[in-house]
This record gives sequence, structure tokens and C-alpha cells, in this order.
Amino acid sequence: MEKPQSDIIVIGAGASGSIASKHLAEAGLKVTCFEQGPEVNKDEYYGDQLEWEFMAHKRWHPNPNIRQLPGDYPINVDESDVNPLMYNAVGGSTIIFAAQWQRATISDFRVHSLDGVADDWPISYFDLEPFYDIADIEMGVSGLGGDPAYPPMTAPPLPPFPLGKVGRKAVKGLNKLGWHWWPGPQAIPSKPYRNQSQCARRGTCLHGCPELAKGSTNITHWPDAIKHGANLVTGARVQRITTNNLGLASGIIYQDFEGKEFVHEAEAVIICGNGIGTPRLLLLSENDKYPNGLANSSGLVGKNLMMHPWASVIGYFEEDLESWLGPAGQLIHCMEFYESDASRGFVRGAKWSAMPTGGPLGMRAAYAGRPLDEAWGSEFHKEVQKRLGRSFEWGIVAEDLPDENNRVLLDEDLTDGNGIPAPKIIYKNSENTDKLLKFHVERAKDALIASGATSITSSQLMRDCGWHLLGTCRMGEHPDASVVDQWGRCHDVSNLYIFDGSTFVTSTGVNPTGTIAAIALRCVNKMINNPQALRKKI
Amino acid sequence: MKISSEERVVFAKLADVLIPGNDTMPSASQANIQGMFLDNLLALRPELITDTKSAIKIAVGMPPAEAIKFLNTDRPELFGTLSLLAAAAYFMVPEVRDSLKYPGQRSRPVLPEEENQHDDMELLRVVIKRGPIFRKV
Repeated sequence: MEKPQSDIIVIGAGASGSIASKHLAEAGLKVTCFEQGPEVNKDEYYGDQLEWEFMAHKRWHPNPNIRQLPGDYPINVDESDVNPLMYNAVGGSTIIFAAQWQRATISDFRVHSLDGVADDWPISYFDLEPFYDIADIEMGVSGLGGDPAYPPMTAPPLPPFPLGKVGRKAVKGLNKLGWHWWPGPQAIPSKPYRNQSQCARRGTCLHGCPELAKGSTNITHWPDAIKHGANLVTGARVQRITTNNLGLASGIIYQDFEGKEFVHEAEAVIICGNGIGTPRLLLLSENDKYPNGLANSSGLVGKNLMMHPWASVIGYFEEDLESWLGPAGQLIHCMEFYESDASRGFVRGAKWSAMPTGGPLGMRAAYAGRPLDEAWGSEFHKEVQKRLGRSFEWGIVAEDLPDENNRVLLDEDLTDGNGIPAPKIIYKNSENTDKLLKFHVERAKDALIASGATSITSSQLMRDCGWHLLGTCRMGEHPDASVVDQWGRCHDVSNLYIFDGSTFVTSTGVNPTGTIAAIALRCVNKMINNPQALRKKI
Repeated sequence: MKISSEERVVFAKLADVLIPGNDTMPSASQANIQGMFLDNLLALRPELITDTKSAIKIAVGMPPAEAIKFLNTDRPELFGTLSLLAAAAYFMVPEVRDSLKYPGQRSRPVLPEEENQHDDMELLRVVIKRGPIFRKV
């Protein structure tokens, strides 16, 4: 029986997989994308319903171990300080991300040269810059050009959101201290834009956008990908990448949720499963020729996991700030302490985001586990009235450095719904990260006091904060020290590619999806302009 | 499996311990969360019904405040379900939202008159004046 065949298989329909599928299909290639999750229908979003916050506790929880939808897979986190967060569906985690659309800075690509730690990337900011520009256009980014934390750059296609009461309150403190801030760039359209509606500022972005406004790639990319002939197979659990007698990728074996097995062949395979899904699949694809997992001669598949430990510092104010008003991501960002300063006792830094604090039930989450008489009874009303609408959060994205001990491996016992081994992660915060977070939390408190906060609460490390899953198939020039080259091509298997966040060499101190998109665009552009690269023989 | 009227009475008493009334806010039972609002939540998450019934069963015959203390210390998973349902239902009640002056996550797109961000740009002037802060390579 003839096996189904494509020019290219893309595994995963999240940010990078969507971008790859769209552009390859537009270039006339026969692309089939396999996604284990479903397509999410508009009526599955609760952001415009009364029950929104209630549903965020389960159906729309970002932790797959809690959500447990059929398209999810469990993750053993027994040895991790941080829980990984993700969403498995067409659009991937862009469905639930905050859409903070940041670029990495120039220094992020030269960490070893500048700070003597980690490694330099094989590419520079300026290699990615044109693709950052394209990504801004494709994702409907709102923002303002001229940010002094970056070299001069093309302004985003849409104007920034108004600062609002929260943004102005945050600015008050920063201007008093003479610290940097800038209107936060966001992949959320402040006006109607291409496939996207205008943002309604409901502030429910983290649980799927009911307005179909936010830059989720199921909206921004898949309609065009389908129009140009891309095939999309959902509910497809890829269990291994197959290889031929030359050791090249020949296709995949996948299962549907009933366990029925299918084979699909292709000239090239692109993995877009991000920092946990991608190494899991490579490790699952071990065979006689690749006994330690596919593309793993370096031994680095799964290693150097980085997850951006996140700290939260919330200030409470006398006046009404309407702090339930969206977008939920960031009104402004602050990069005053982004670059290294040896006098602080640690290297690298963090970006801050001024974020609204949302609705009343979400605020109550901070009370879980607190004594009854503090969280409930007469205190219940006092706390709600003090906090609801009168607070905002400085969210701090800490740059964690690569460490081979932080890693993804296959769990010996845990499996997904199809019986395929699930991943286990081992992740411990480093001393550098601890010092970094402590410093930044104190500076954020300074900023809130300068803004006029009457009280402040902080969390130096939230466990459910692993939004950014990076580094586990790093890019580099040398096959013994990296998994892929700068074009996402695996050193060991020349027709196997990785375009996602697992290729990051360092984590940067900013939200990574903008950089993931730029990397995917750069790699797919190279592939389209060099069709020979697709051939198995190369 | 539904919550019976007897069970609703117990649920309401337990919820009142968690969310009592005061001068400006109704108690949980005054807001009638034990009716339609509880049903709506359990219809969305039917897997919580068993824990809800178990919590109520334990509380039957006990003073509500003691039952809450017991659940919190000895059956935290049941307490978690009960308190989540009570708070979630309470914040859905229109009278409660009105009292909190919380409009909910309603649609409020940027209006044309908000697009003139002259004041915001004025605030940025000092940031721009200080010049670049990125580290050169």
C-alpha cells in the first residue's frame, strides 16, 4: 500500500510550526502539519463569559498536568522548581500567551563574550532584525518605535495601547526614579488588522481570546496556510521520526487518540514542539543507528533547559486603577536593569512588565493555603475591596543561564494517553538566578513605592511560571557542542530541522515568542530559497 | 447527579462562614449562590460534584464554622472545592459586582478619542532625552 507523502512534514502547529507551514505552503511546497491538540472553536473561550475565572482553574489552566485535555501529555515535575506551562492545539501556546512581543537585545546574542558565561549565539541581533520586522507584521503587533533599550528599529505596524490608569501609575514611579520604560509591544491589535479583530481589552488573554483579536497563530497564520494548500492533521500524536538506511529522516509514525497507527513520509521533517516536546520526540526516535536519540551525537538533546523563572511584585493603591482592564500582557515595560552590572553580584538581568491584576477570583488565588481567618470570613471583603481594581503587578522575567543539569528526559513510568513515554524535567534555580530575582524584586518594590503604593506583596519565584521552554536543542556551529546549525538543520541528520524555542543558546531576559517567530521565519526563508536543502541526498 | 435542596441548605451555611455579610456586601446565602450560580458552575465542571457532596456530607450535623475548620485542616481537597465554588459563584452575582463597582471583563476597545496619546508621549519625553541604554557589542 502506498504511504501518504509530503514534501515536508511539520510537527507541531504552535508559533514556529504555523509560520513554517504557512510560508512553505505559499512557496508551493506540499506541507503536512501534525498537531496532537485540536482546533479550538470560538465558543470554547470563556473570556467574555461570567464563568471566565472559574474556567481558568481547569479547562483553561496553562499547566497541562492540571488541564489534562486529550491533546495534552503529562510531565513529571517532581524534580523541578518550576512547572512548565503550554497549550497543545492549533496555535499552540500562542492561544494562551500574554502576547508580550519583545525582541531580544543585542547583548543577548553575545553573553559569553560580554559576561564570560554561557555561550554566544551563532547569529546576531542584526541577523534576526529583518525577520523581527516581518514577524511584527504577521502577528499584528501594537507598539511604538524608538525604544532606547534597543538600536533603532522599524516601528510595529499598529499604534500602542493607551497607557491607561495602570500604565500611568507605573510610569509615575519610574519617572520619579529616572528609570527606563516604554509602551509595551504586544501581538494584540489596537485596531482591526488583517485576520484579527480589534482588541476589546477584556483582559482575559491568558485563557484564549474570545474576540479572535490576539495574535495567536491559529488566526494569524493558519487561514492563509490552508488557503495555500497546507494540510493540517489534528489529534495526531507523533511517536517517532523514522529514518532510512542512510540515516536520513524518512517520515513519521503517529497515532490518533484511539491508538490507531499511521505512517507519513516526506523529503524533510521540521520539528516545532518547543523546549519539551521537541527533545522528547528526538529521544523517542532512538534506533540502532541513533541509540541515544535522533540528532543527539552531542549528547545535548534535552539538556540546558531554561524556563525564565518569574517573580511577581504587586502594589496596592488608594485610587481606582480599573486594573481589570486589558490587555492582560503589559501596558509598559521597564529594562532599566536588563544589562549586566558587575556591582550587583550576578550577571545578566530581567525585563519587567506592568500588568493589570484582573478579576476578583484570580486575585484570590494568592490566598490558597493561607490561614482561614486571613483569607475568609470578615477579611474576605476587606481584602477584595482593597485589591480589586486598585493594584497592578510588576512581572519580572529573569534570564536563567544554560546548565546541562537542567534537562528533559523520558520518564521511566509516566506515559501519555497513547502509552507513549512522557517527559520528565529536572530544573533547579541557580545561585545567579536567585540573586538576580532578589535584586529585581527589591527594585520593583522601590518602583511601586515611588508610584505611591500603600502596600506591596511579592513572590520571588512562582512555581506555575514556566511559560518559556527553551534551550534543549541549542543551535551552534560545532556538532559536538550543539544540536542544530543556525538554520535549524540538525548536524547529525541533514534533512531534519528544528525551528522552535529549543534552539535558543541562552534564554534572553525577554518573552521569547517574538524571537522564536523570527528564527522560524529566517530558517524557513533559507529553506525556501535553497530547495536543494530539502532533498534527502544533501 | 444533582445537589439536593437539603444539600443546598448546608452548602449555603458553609459558604456564609467563608463569605459573611457586612454593611455593604451581602453574605453568600443572601446573594443566593446556592441556587442557579452553583448549578451553573457544577454544570461546567461536573467532576466537582462528588467532592462538593462529600464536603456537605461531612458538615451535616456540625456547626458550620467547625465544619469549615475541619475541612480546611483535615480534608483540604474538599475545602479547596467548596471555597472555589463559593467564591466563584459569589463574584458572578450581579448585585455583588455592583457593590464592588466591578463591571466584569467587558468589551472596551480603544476609542478614536483615546488614540490621541499626546499626554502619554509627554511622559516619555524624559526617557527619550536620556538616550540609548542598550549594551553595545
